Amino acid sequence: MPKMKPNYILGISAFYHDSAAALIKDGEIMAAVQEERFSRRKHDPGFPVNAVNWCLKENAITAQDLDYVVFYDKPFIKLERILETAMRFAPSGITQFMQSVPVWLKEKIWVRDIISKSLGYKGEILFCEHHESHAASAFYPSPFEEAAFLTIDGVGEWDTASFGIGKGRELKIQHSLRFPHSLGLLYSAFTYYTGFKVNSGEYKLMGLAPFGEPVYKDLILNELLDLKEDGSFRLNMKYFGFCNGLRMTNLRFDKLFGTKPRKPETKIRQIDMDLASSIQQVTEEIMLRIARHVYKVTGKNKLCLAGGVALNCVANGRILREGPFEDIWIQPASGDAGGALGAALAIWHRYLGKERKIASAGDSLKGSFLGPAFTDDEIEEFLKKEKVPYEHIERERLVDSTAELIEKQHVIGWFQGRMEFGPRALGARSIIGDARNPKMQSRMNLKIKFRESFRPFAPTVLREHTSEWFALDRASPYMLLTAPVKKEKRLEEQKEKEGPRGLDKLKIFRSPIPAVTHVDYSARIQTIERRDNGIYYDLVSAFYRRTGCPVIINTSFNIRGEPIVCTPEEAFRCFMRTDMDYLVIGSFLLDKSKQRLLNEKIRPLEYQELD
Amino acid sequence: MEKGKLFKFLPDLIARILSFIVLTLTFYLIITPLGIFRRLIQGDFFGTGMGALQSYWVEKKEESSIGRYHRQF
Repeated sequence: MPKMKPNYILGISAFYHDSAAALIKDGEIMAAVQEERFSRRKHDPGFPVNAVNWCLKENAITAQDLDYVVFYDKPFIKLERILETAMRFAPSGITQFMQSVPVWLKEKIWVRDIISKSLGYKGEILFCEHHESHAASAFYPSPFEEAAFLTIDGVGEWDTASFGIGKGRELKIQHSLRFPHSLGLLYSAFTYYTGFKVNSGEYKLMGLAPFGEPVYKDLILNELLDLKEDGSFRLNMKYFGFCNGLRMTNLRFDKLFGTKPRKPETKIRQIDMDLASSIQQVTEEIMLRIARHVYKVTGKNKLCLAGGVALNCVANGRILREGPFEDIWIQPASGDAGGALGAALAIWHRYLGKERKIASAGDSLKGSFLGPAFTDDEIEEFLKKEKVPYEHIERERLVDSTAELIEKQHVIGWFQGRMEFGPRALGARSIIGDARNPKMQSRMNLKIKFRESFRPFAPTVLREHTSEWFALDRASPYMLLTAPVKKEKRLEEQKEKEGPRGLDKLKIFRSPIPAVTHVDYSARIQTIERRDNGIYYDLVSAFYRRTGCPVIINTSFNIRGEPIVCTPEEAFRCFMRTDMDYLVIGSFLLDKSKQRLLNEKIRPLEYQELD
Repeated sequence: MEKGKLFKFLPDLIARILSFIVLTLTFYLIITPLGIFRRLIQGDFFGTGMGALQSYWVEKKEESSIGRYHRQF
């Protein structure tokens, strides 16, 4: 009998932010990667031609082998929303109209043509709805046979949030909230107002929140939105500028909070911290109410989450701890990048009607390690070409040596295996260090990541030791849940009560792992099991054997404004231009002190616009 | 001046000016009157009013035919 040709579906997300491509083969997720990792432009919104080409090459196929290409939203419905918005607010809003319409006419309504021409693809091109793509990315790879799903983001076509039920291959979207009433845009409005970049700095606002007091929470709830018991809400549009202006907020908003927006890169004020705290609490309140409503309507006891707002790991942690669901699963590429994967899965299960296979252990996302990998031969070729001094070490000794270096307070660049899909580094493209060192947070922020001093770092903890250190009783492999450090591990709580305000809170030593304990005693946890990432698990285990501490710092392998490194060359450049001490890349160890001056032939880091 | 330089950027300049004029006219002569008309006839057609409803969740009615995946709308 002739062998059946496998079915390949390529999903694409593009033209807003975080463009990406994902490839599935007979329903199995084979590859997924953001375009920014190739173009080196953070949150690259352009057509992901490099990401697509890599997905095809990795699987040894060409565009002609694809059965379907699917785009993650419906461009014409988006255009309709833009025109309707212009009508609602006209005659104000001409500037926004003049800026957005030409881009639509030139590019965004020609998606079909762009795909065909860029890829030389002649087959069928399909289109999913934006929130359907998110929902599919949340439910289909999850470990649940049936579950409720909830998607929340800025805006898709018209929807800004949606929920429903997934069962087997079925996905039923039941209810949605509609533009302009958007939790994502509300959060982004405060991101803008506190001086961070929209669609990029939201996680900074979340990190800033514990430094402030929620003094504006009631004002936000009373003035800026009408929140119902079921979590649905409407924004009071008289305070926002995103429908008819180029700013997220307007002068009435400034008047309400008694100040102007903070200018980017200026000193963070107490009001910025208080606003961050307030909007974070409002967001958590809304998400908890929605979660309770979804539980009531769907009757399911498991929940899958996706959409940009699902990257708010503090709110996710509260849903898990205080919400009605037994368990939750969050898509690690929750933003628009994940839409590429969701769209491909939606076509496989919903369009083609193919059955869903649930992974026997964990989920079917392969730890989110879906990007490019480099063999030792390829890495060595680069090192030899650039005459980089290195040492080749066998795997077993490699993890022991690295653990020893971490124990000696060195900061290590860790480059192993396939790159992560999504915004988090999970032990494939990471910078790691000793979480016990109280100076490590400031050193890594200022001398290695070149970023704001208040930004917290996340811990990687051995799964089997998680509940000894954190109030978390389950796996969190994608760093999408925060949980408090266990009470018995906390130090100096008394001092805290009397204590400092604002950024001075950083001066208190809060736990035996201060570098990953945020000022509110929370931590954004990544648990690690051998099945997730064997070599990384062995490294943390080796560190545990040496020190008795099963926790290390894990932050993404990049500097501020730059996407996470993808290739050995990018890793080496980042290593050489920061204060990292060692680079462990494949089976090779590079010692900074043995490196000669950087070979100028190696392309310098392009310092991007700050995020 | 380099020969032909004028004609290198002139088409782009003309396109920009024309585009500006066309878009301005579209906005003020089509979008604005339509918007005002719709506000008069349909009231709050965009759903920006507050406190009007018990819940703001909108029921989703998905088209059952898979033909929806072939359309960009």
